[in-house]
Amino acid sequence: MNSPDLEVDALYFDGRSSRARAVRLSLADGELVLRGEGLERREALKALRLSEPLGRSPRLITFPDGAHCEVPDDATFRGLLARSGHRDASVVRWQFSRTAVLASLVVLVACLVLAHEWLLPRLAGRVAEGVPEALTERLSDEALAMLDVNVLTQSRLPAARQQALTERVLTLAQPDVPTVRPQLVFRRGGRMGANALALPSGLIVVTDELVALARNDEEILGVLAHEIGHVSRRHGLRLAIESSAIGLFAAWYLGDLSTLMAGVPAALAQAHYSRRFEREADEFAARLMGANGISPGVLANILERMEAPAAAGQGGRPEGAEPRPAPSDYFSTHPLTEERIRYLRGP
Amino acid sequence: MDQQTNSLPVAFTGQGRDYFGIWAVNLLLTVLTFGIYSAWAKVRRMHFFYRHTRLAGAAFDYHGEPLSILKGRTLAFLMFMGYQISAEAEPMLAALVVVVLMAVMPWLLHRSLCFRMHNSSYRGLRFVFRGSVRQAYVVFLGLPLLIVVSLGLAFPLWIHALKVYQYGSSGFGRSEFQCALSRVEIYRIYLVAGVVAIGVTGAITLLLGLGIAEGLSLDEGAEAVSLMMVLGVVLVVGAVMMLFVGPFVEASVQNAVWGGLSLGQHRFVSVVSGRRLAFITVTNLLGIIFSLGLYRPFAELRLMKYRLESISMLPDGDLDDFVARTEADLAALGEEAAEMFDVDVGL
Repeated sequence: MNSPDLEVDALYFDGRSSRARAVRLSLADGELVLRGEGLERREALKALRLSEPLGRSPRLITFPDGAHCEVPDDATFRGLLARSGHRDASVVRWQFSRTAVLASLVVLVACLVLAHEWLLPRLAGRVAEGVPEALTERLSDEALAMLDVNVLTQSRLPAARQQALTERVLTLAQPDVPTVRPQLVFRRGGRMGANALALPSGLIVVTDELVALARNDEEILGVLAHEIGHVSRRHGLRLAIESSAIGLFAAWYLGDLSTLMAGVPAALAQAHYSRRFEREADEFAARLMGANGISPGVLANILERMEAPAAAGQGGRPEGAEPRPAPSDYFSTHPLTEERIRYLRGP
Repeated sequence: MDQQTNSLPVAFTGQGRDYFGIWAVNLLLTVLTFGIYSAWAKVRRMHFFYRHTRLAGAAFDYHGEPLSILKGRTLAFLMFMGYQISAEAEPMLAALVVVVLMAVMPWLLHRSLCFRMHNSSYRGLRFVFRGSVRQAYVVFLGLPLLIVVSLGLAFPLWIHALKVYQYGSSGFGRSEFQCALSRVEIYRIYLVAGVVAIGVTGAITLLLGLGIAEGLSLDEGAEAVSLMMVLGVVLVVGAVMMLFVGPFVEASVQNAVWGGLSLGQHRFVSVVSGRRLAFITVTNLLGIIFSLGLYRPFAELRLMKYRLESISMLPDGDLDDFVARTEADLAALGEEAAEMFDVDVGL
């Protein structure tokens, strides 16, 4: 077998019947030569459809007329092809190279990290900008209605006090254009406790408990400045968009295997985003307060007191009981409050 | 050459290591091209599964072209976006889009079945899908509506019609598959599954209810607790259904379908065990979780291998005797249109 015409066994099917015929394949002058009992066929290599190698599977050769050959011995066939100067597509070579596969995994992880850290926040920001006003309002109204049914009850704060706070918030000079038109809604917080939460349309829910907890109006304004920051940066919408994009990706990746699992990565991502959004809202609040002659430290003071009952183990809010779309209710039991207080008090 | 009593088992020779490389490289390229490469990736994946599937010493082959798949995917993406955009802008418009999609979907699914069968071959002969478009409307529109009207009671009826349509309307060369699937058998499978599911749900609800009532005096937090309980029950029941009831139903349906299938005088048999399938599903899920997703290609392969190798052909006569359809015959079936595009559906 040291003659130049290397040969390999194959099964030949003529495409008209399912009958298998044993043949031997060889190469001559860029042509595939097929010889069997009472059968000889030549075909230019270029005219053939050569299936890609796939591990130990047989190689399949399809002729232009639909006839086809099955070559069980891929190794010999590869040797045969190599002599003709045939080269597999790069993707095929990568698929079976340990280095390339490993490199693919590394790049893949890098891509995912990049998409998550850089692309998704920017994309979600752009999409959030484009959400029409009417939709934002509908979503916010629905969220408030849901909160009213499940958590909140009517405020017992005197109307005059509500009016006064509303007026003070409206007269705040806002550092960014376009400015947010905050719309205060007073409610009794119940198990939400001393808290404020912003909905994307500019609705800001203020609980009676928060007003009671504040030592002066500046503290309330500080909290509201933070909430206006959430609205200004469209955090509610961005959070919803980002976490649903992650959920969608997870559902696609885990696919048929588990739809239950798909919620987990999204939930994990939520914590990460809220941390970033808190920081942004605090930066905004600090600038807004500065522009209105209020020290950002005031917000830190009330934050500390808001955290206190949570640390004592009361007023906690059960996870997962949060209505959708997720309101930016980040004042409650957050481990990052300490970090925020340090930031607000400044150097 | 084959005895009547012979059974020809399907063999699957794919190796996890090879598939892992294909999966990793193709996933990376898909991510880098924002999904466009997924059509090429699908072709490689199909080649891997088809060519590693062997019956009576010959492999299957896949002929789908990436561009046809890309067309179908683009179409599906546009339809999805059309729905999303209209849903955000105008609920009435979205309702209209849904009606249009429902009207077009059966036709698309019919095309998809044609594409898949037309692009599958064995021993050089193509498979063919002969199901009518009219029947597609019955199976993909009429019966699903009946399921809604009958409050789910017609679901097994739908599964029956779907399987008979899918398998019984297929052909291999000039030979035709017949699917003698009994409705009673399918109803029996789903009845058993339904009884088990209801029993399990009841037991879990009872246990959870008792546990929570004991651990908590039902006072202030009752509302939140009941919400969490409902959530817990939903999760546990979902997991039980997915991991245990689902595999048993799948196993029974596959066995029933293949048991009733014949190709000319040849018959088939499938011996999937529900217990084994459940074991594979659970361990696959655990593998994916603990490998942070890297086990996914191995899991897919393992499941496919088990399901394929459970099938055997009971030949009556020679497998060499199948013949191809003539050109005129194929034109009558509208086979040239089968090349056009593929819509991915998890049928």
